[in-house]
Amino acid sequence: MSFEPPTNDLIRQAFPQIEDIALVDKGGFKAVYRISAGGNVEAFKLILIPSYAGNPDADSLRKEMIGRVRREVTALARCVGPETVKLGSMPLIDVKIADADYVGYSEEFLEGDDLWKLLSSGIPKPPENELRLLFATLLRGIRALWSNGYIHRDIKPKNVMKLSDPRRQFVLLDLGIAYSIQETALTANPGERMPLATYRYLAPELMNPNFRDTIDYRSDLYTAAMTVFEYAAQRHPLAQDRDDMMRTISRALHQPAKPLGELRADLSTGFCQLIDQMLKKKPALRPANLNLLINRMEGNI
Amino acid sequence: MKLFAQHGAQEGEKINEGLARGLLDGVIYSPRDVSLDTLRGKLDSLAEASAQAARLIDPQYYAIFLNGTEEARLGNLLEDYGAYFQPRRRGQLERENQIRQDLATALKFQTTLNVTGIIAPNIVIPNSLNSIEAVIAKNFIRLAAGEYSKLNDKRPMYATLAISRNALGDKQELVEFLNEITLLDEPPGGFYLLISARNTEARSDIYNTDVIAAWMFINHTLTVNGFNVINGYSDVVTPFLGAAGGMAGALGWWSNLRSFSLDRFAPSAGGGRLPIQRYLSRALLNRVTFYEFDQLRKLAPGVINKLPTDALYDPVVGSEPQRNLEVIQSWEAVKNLNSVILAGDQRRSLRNCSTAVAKAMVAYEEIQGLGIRLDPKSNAEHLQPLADGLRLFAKLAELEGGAK
Repeated sequence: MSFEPPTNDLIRQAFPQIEDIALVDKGGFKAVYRISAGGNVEAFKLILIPSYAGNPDADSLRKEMIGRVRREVTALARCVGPETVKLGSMPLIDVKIADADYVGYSEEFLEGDDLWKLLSSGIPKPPENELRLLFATLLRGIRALWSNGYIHRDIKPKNVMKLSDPRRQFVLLDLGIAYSIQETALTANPGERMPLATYRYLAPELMNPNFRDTIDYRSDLYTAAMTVFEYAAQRHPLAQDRDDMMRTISRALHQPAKPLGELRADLSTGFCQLIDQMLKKKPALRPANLNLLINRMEGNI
Repeated sequence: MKLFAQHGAQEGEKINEGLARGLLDGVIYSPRDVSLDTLRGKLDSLAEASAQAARLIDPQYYAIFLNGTEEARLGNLLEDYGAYFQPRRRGQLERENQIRQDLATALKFQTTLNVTGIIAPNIVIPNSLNSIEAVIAKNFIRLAAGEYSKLNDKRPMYATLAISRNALGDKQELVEFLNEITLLDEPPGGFYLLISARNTEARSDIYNTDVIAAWMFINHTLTVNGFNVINGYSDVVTPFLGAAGGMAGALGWWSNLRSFSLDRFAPSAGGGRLPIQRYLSRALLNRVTFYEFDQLRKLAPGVINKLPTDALYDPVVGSEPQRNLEVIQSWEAVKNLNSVILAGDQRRSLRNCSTAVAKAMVAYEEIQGLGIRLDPKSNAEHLQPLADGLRLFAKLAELEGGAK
């Protein structure tokens, strides 16, 4: 489902600091624009807060949605390293546009493509040094988030940008469903809902009904490894395109991931084994010493 | 995989002999069985004679609940090691401050000694990994590195993880427990891992599918997470633990130094006879009595290790070794098993384990075919649990295909 965003003129009326605006992408309840504000080019995110009219849980659901956006902005403000996207000049503002509620804020505009787009465009398979850099970047991002009590929960090729800047080649995006181990849970009626996630990139432990008691950053290690695997091999380690959601989840829970070395024999055994190990179903089997892993990926040990 | 001597009572020259023959990579001393003055001397002598050998002390804090029990066999712990070995009740250890204090004193005590690494104290988790004792044990593990860092000592520090075999049956609890101890804000350098049997004579306590699988799985999980694992009292299971990733194993000369049990510290149930000397056969993955060996070496020569210490079992005297040299043969056999089974690559090592078990089954069948009846401790009862334990371990560790 994709919503129809308001016109650019209406957005400019609601956010007068926006000078130029052009739609870049849109999804469920969110649209992303390239804007100029105060002379800077930035990415503007506009999120619809649905009315959920007729839904007895409307208030809770709206509260949850607003809470998630606030959490994303707070998390981005706390994680200031180059591996995560930075906030822009426009703070989070609630507005009403044509009788609908929205929130909007800006992030830095990143020149480049996300990995999903690159994969879809048929790029050549990346060399190991690039894959190591990608994994190290994701590990740094996970470390920064965890040090602030967050788990990303939605690391996937679509949420990683590849930039042309050699000093900052990869950036982790979209903390929209980040989980905080330090804050009150946001999910309304958690017992009656599937976990928030992209099912193709779902750490198996998140299907445990009690995952909120035990979740930690090793769920992000799983999806980071999955992202690296897919970028390296240009195929998903588990899912198949024809699978429905239940089949995808079943594979995540029960099927061993394909060894990376079988698809990329040119990569070092050590690198492939590490990615394979990160794709184990039990979190305890995923190496969790982030500093050690980053050093290893960056060739320091 | 390294092999350490598990020190105990009546050491004599056993460890020196083991070191001199190049069979040992270090020693884990038992304070219960050595006065502090003597221990200091031993550590200094060992450092001088074998500088490369690891010198460790098991603080044996896990016996602390017996402190105050009449006739508990705590040896030198009460007087010479009173700096950290004070009476405790479980309720006291439910307080984090008490744990911190006990960690601090036990760690500080060891830093004054000429050891190459420090072993942090802990209690034994007796029945369940989802219990008050498990929470206490996790707190000891969680807090150990923080307390140790205050001492500014650069030697590696190992957290003790002591679990009763009874607590290993529930795999879900085991996985959840490992989930927690592999994610620590201040991790130790490694673990000193003990699996406790109800008593040291209960062979089936350790040779049990769930126990073997869990012991291997703990080694594997901790190693994957970058921890070095020293297995105490691991005896013949040592190479299997090595295949799972363990860094070291240990065994000593008495049965209570080859299988860990708090029974060793509890009041004695009565006197006992000296055990019959045994021969550890690589082919059988087990010990047989010297007189069984004397018979088997003629009829089923496959049980002979063909290692230098075979000479200690002289057929001229009915293959009876000197009692104090029995352990030398054990150390050599386990060291050799380590070198044969452990191939560097985990999958290959696990296959080697399976092959060793399968070959042992064949060897026992051959013995049975000869009409030889073996003593209950010498028989093949350990093999099926080893074979099944390997398979269960591979499943738990998500290594399907690694062990068949």
